[in-house]
Amino acid sequence: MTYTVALIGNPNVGKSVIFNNLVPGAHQHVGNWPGKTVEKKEGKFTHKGKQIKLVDLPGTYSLTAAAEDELISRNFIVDEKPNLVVDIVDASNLERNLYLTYLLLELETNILLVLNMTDIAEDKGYKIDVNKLSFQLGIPIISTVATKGTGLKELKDAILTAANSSPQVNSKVYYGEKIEKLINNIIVLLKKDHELSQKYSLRWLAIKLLEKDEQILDIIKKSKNATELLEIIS
Amino acid sequence: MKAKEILGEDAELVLADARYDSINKVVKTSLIKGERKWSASDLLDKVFLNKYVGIPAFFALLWAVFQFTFKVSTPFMAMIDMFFKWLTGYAALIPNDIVASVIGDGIFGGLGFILQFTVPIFFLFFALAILEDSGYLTRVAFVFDRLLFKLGLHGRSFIPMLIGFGCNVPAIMAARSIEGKKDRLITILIAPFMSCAARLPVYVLIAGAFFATNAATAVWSMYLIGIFVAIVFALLLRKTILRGDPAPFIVELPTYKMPTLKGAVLHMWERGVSFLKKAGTYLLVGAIIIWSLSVLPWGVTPGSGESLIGMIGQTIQPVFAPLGFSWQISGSLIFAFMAKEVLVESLGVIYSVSSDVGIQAALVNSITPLSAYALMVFMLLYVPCLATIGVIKKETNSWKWTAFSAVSQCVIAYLGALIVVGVGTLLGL
Amino acid sequence: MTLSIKIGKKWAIYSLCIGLASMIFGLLGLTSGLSLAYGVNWSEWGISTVFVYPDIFTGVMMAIIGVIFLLGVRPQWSGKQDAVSFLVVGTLLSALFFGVYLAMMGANAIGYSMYNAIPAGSVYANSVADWEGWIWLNDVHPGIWLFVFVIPGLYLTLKLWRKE
Repeated sequence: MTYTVALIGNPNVGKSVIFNNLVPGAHQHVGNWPGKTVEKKEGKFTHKGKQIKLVDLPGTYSLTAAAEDELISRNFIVDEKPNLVVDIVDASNLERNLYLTYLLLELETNILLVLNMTDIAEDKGYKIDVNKLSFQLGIPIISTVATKGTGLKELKDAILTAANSSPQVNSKVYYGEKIEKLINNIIVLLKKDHELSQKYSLRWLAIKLLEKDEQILDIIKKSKNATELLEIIS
Repeated sequence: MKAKEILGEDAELVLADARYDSINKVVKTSLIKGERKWSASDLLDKVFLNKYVGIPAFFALLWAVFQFTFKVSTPFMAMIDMFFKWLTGYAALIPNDIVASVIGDGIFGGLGFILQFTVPIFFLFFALAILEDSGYLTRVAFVFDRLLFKLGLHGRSFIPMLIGFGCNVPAIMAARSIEGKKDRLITILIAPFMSCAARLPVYVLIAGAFFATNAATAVWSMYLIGIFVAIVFALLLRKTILRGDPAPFIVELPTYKMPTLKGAVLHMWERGVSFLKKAGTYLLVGAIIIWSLSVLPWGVTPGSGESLIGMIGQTIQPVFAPLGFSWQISGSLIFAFMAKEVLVESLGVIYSVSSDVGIQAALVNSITPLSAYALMVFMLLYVPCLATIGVIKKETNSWKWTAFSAVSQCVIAYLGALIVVGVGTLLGL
Repeated sequence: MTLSIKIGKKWAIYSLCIGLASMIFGLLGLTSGLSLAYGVNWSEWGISTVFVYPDIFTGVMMAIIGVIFLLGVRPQWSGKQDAVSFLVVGTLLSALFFGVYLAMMGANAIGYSMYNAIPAGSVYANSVADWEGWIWLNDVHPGIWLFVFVIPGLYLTLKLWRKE
């Protein structure tokens, strides 16, 4: 079978280097126009007899509906439901990079975190306890220094393993009692719409609704409990 | 239970804060920050982001880029020029004199003139790729942000606008990285005023014919006028239909990276080839259309007032009469709608002359220097090319804005040219 | 921040010298370029363009590089380690300009050889007319030979780069 794996991460974390390493140029299929935000770049590679289709999503800091490229990434994950999302993180800028990771966790998709640029983190004097981080986030983590080629062989193994497992949903952001109650009320209403429940993670939908996310608002307006939902979030 | 009571006005911010809280807790337990060794990026930024020397350093780099692009490409441009002259020699072998002239001089001559410019275009894209890959352009965007903010523009608009000087199409696409909808729309609407590389041959042709030693200044002035109009238009849009302040510019400065030769060449190649393909297609299609229109109805003197192209030109001419454009120019402007470079081709065919020198002579004989300058301004400001319209539609996803863009550009172009003629006449030029 | 190499008074003096030299030649070029626009021809004074290159922009750029070097002098004198950045950036810019100037000279050389290869009356003569009478000395100016003096700075930059 072919696994579909998406590559995501902040800009300038070495995503392209990793993509080019996993899928050599000849096997890449690039979209039309260049520039900093590119249409998705795809490619196939084989590892241990399994075929993997790799899709390079635009580099973004978050996944809001306001920015075109972020919406592209988000829609891909929600609509295409890839077997795995590989989140590439700049180890020397952990806090900022983890924001995207947390957004991905909310999407309840399967994640493999790649801690890249660990050499730069070392230069900055950082020491990262990878096991602890992995445990707290609830997702597998692998370290690499893509520019030097370190860890890239192990990456292919990690991708296969992670793609075969199911998403862990332990790590959630706890928004505080009042907000969590609000979220649960919304989820109850959302549950009644079967189409929505099938397609999306309801908790994610609820949170997006609270954020008044444009795209989600549009989707909700067409659903059964539209008026009630809009009431709550206004 | 209402969300507003619990989350307040800005729900997004509250939720984001909660996420960051979680992140901080996690990071605290798994990350230890030791003492910081110096980093190359910080060292470089001390100068490039320095409040006194940051902007001058940028201009120095910009100048170096332009010197490289335009001066170093000259011998290669000469090579292309000579190649087409050689081709023209073959066209002269065509038995029918007039057809030979149209093809050899009008078309080969026009093509040769334009294609010379692919050399500096590739060089420019190469230089831009290096600046972009090194991470330097983000700094520039940051440095100019304050200034851009006062002009109602977002700091992130800087890079798309800079790319616009190479070609407007990737510039408009680069606007995708701008988050605010209004900010993005404004950037897309003013990008066409960045004088792209395709307009350059047209300026060179006209300025060379009319302004001799001051030709370079005339061409420079086009770039400046373009920027000026862009700024004014942006301010206007901000005050009227797209109100509001630009979104705050928060950017993460990436560490400087040594750009790789391979990477830069790849970027250059991608952009350059796309530009060529686009330009080539329009040039070819344009050539065929223009040529057909100039020799029909059959038997007429090609390019004369009796041919189809001549009739079109003469019908349109009254519109452009206040600007002092001849019917040949008016007709050519219609075709230049497809792509600016096509103007040279169509002028060549309509005036039935060989090479740029011939076209220049014909121009000098048919319009005044003042009108010539007005023509340059017109070419600067009206719709860059069909590809631009196509990409604006794609990026804005709205026929309304695309039409607005095209129409407003034509109007502004006409007004601009009119102002030039008006002021010039008043000054007695 | 801590650096592995000592930046001190020696480098401060170096920055001062290079900075001043750049500024001076830059300003000379700038003013001669301006005066040329008004009809004053400096070469009449017997100064070759190798030393005073009468072009406004070239002069401005050299002056800017000079300023960058000079800005680093005082902090370097007081031992502030991160002031090496002025030296490094000044060096890098000088090197970049040096490269561009050489490329321009090379391009002209190519053009000149084409000019020589094409017989006077031919159709192609027009395309290469610009290179008539060119000699390589035309393109030599302070931006090029001052770079020789920037080499110590380049050496320091490379040393720092390697330690990274």
